Amino acid sequence: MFRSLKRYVALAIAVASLTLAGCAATTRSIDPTSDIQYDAQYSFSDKNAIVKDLTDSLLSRAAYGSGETPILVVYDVVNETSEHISTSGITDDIRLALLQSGRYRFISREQRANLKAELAEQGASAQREASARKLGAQLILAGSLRSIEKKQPRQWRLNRKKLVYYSLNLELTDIQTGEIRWADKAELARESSQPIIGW
Amino acid sequence: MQAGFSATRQRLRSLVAATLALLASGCATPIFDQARALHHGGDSAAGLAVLESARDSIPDRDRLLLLLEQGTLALYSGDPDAAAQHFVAASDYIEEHDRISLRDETRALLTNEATTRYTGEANEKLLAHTYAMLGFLLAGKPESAAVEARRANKRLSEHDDALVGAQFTRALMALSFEMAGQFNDAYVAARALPAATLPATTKRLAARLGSTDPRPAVPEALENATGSARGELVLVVASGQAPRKYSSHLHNGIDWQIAFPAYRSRVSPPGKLRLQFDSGGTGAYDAVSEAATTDLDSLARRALEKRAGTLLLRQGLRLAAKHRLVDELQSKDDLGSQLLAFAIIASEVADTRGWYTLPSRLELRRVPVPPGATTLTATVNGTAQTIDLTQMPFDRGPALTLLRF
Repeated sequence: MFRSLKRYVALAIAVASLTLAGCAATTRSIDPTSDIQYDAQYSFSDKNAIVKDLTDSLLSRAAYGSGETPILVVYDVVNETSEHISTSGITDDIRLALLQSGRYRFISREQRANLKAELAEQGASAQREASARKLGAQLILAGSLRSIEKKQPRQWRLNRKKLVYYSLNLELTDIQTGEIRWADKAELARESSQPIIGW
Repeated sequence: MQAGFSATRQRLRSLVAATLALLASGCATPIFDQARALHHGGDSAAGLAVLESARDSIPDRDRLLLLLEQGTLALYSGDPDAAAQHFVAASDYIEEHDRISLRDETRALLTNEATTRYTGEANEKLLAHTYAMLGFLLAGKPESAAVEARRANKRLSEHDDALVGAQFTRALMALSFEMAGQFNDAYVAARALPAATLPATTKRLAARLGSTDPRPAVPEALENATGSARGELVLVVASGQAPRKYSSHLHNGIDWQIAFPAYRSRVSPPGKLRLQFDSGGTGAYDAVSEAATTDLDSLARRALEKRAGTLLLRQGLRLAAKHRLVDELQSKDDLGSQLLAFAIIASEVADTRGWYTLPSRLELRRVPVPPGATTLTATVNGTAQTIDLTQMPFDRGPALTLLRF
C-alpha cells in the first residue's frame, strides 16, 4: 500500500516536472535572413525578401550614362495594408542596398526632414517633386505596400483559414522629365490556419 | 412551516449569490467603476491614473475592458497617440482570442458567463477601431488611421446585421482615407453612407477622382458655404453616457434560475447639437454643416439582441448541467452538499461587463468655415463649448477637434 503511494507521488512529480519544463521561458538567437513565419501576417522575413527582389531588379534594369551617379530621394512607402507596418524599415533597407551598390547618391534624412517642414509651413506638404528638386535630386523612388485578406466563409469547421496577399510596388521617376525610369513589384501570398477550439 | 423554510433558503441563496458575484468579479469592477465615475465627473486623467495603478490587480479575463477604458480615458486626457495604441492592443487582443476556449466553457458551465474571458460585443469590436482611427487622426498619423479604417471595414462586413447605423464610423473612415491621401478608398467609404449624410464630401471626393457623384445634389446652403469657405473644421462630438447592462433573472423561487444580460430602459437621449459662428461684432449666426451620427445606445442594444440566440443556447446547456448536479447534491443530507447546491444555483448571474466610458451618441460634423469667423460655439442641452478658429491650420486640410458633453 505504502509502496503504491510512493509510486503515485513519483509519477506526479515526473508529470509536474515535464509540465514545468514545457512552460519554462527560453531565448535563442536566430538567423535574420532565415524564413520564419508564425502566422500569415507580414514579418521581417517578408521585408527582407521583397526588398532584395526589388533592389536586384532596380540595379539590373534602371540604366544611366557611364559614370553617372544620380542623386536619389527615397520617399516612405505608403502603407495601404490592414496592418500597422512600419514601412520606413523597407525604405531604409532599399536606401542602404542602393548606396552600397555605388550607383546612386543620397541626401541625408535630416536634410529631407528640414525641407519637408519648411515646405509644410508654406502649405506645400504634398509636393514631393518640389522638395526633391530643391534638394538637388534627379530621381524619386516612391511606392506603396498593399494587402488583400480573405477569410474562409462562416461554416462548421475546426480550423479558420486565412489568405493574405501582399504587394510592394515601387516606381523610379525622373524629376525633370516626369518619365518613369523603372517600375516593378514584389508579391507574396500566404495561407494560415488557426484552430477554432483551444484551451 | 414550508413557506418559512423556503424564505430561509431564498435569503441564504441571496447571500451566497452576493459572495459569489464578488468572487467572480475578481474585485475588478470597483476599480473600473471608480475610474468611470471620475471620467463621467470630468476628470479623465484621474480615472486613467486609477486604472494604471491597479493594472496588475485586474484579472486577465478583463484585460480587454482595461485596454478599452484606458484608451478612452487617455483620449480625453489629451494623449491621443497613447489612446490609439490602447485601442490597437484591444483589437489585437480580440483577434487573438477569437476562438472557443475549453477552459472558459467549462468554467461557465458550472458558474456563469462573467467568469469567462471578455472578448467584447460586436459594437465594441467596431468602436475599438473607430476610436483608434480618432486617436491616430488627432495625433497627426493619418496613414495609421487609414489602416484602422480598413480593419473597421472588415468588422462592418463581418457583423453587417448588428452594425446597421454605424454612420459615424463610416464617416470617420472616409476622413481617415482622405487625410492619408487615399482618395479612392475615401470615396468608397463616403458612398457607403446614406445619400444625405455627407453630400458635399462625397461630391468633392468624386470630383477629385475625375467623376461625378450620381446621387442627389448637395443642398444649396451647404454648396454655397463650401464654395466660399476658408477651410473645413471637422468636429467629433461625443455626448451622453453608454447604456449599462444588468442581470435579468428568471427563477422558480427555489430550485433553478437563469440570468440574461439586458440594457436598462433608456433615459432621455442627449439634446440636438447646435453650432454657431461668431465673427466678432456682427453677432452669432448658425453654421451650415453636414453630419454623420451614430446612436451608440441603439447600436449596443442591437448587438446584444443579435447574440440572444447564442446566449439562450448556452443558458440551456448550463441549466441542464447545473440541474443534474444540484439534484445529486440535494439528495444528500449533509450541510456541505446543501450549501454547494445553493451556491451552484445562486452563481447564475448574467455577464454585465461592458465598455462603459463610451458616450450614448457620436456625431461627426464637417463644417465649412466662412471667412472672418473667429469662434465656433457648440451647444448640447444648454451646455456650450467655444472653439477658437483663429489659430487653426486650415491650409493643411480639414482641422479635427474632439468635444465631449
